[in-house]
Amino acid sequence: MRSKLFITLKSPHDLGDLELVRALAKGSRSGLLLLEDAVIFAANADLGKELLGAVQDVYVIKDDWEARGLPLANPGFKVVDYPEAVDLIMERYEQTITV
Amino acid sequence: MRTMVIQIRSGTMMNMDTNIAVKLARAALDKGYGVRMFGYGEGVTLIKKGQDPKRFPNVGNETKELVEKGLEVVVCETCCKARGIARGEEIEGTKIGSLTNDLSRFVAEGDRMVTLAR
Repeated sequence: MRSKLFITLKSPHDLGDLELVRALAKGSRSGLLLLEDAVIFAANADLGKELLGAVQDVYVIKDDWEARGLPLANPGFKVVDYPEAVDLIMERYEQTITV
Repeated sequence: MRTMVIQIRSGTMMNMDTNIAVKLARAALDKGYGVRMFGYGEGVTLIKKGQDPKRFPNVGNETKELVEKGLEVVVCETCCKARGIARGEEIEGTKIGSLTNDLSRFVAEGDRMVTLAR
């Protein structure tokens, strides 16, 4: 099964449930890249656990996270810059899916 | 050369989607990838010449600068016409094209496709 990088720009209040991500990620190596208001997930430990229940790795884009001055409530999340985000998209995962 | 395709549907002043698109494009170009961007819906505003936002990043200028570094940008003509954007009003080096000709070519030839949408 192809490895998948999910991408979302939606805040936890807009993204709704993670069933779609969980279903599509099943059986494959998967990650989720948080952009814009989606970085709010990183500040909430419970929401963060939910994400790590759907995918193996969660990445938070540095610019948007710093712009909002949020804490990192989930030590397992990786804060990445744009060159690292390009590596995730072009090299580390075989497919990108925006949700 | 491996290529990233970025699909954008948000207007330059709606949210930060186009800012993210140009940041991603810049980082990918700097790493030696090819980058192609396609805009439709409000995303066509990306190529409008003469953008002059106050207190916000000027995505038009950044797009022009990245085109000079090899970024290929095409937007949908139907969506342009719907918004009164005519040929000749696009930033130099960008193109008013079509979903059927240009986006399909980008998708067929690209290695990864990133959609920035809500």
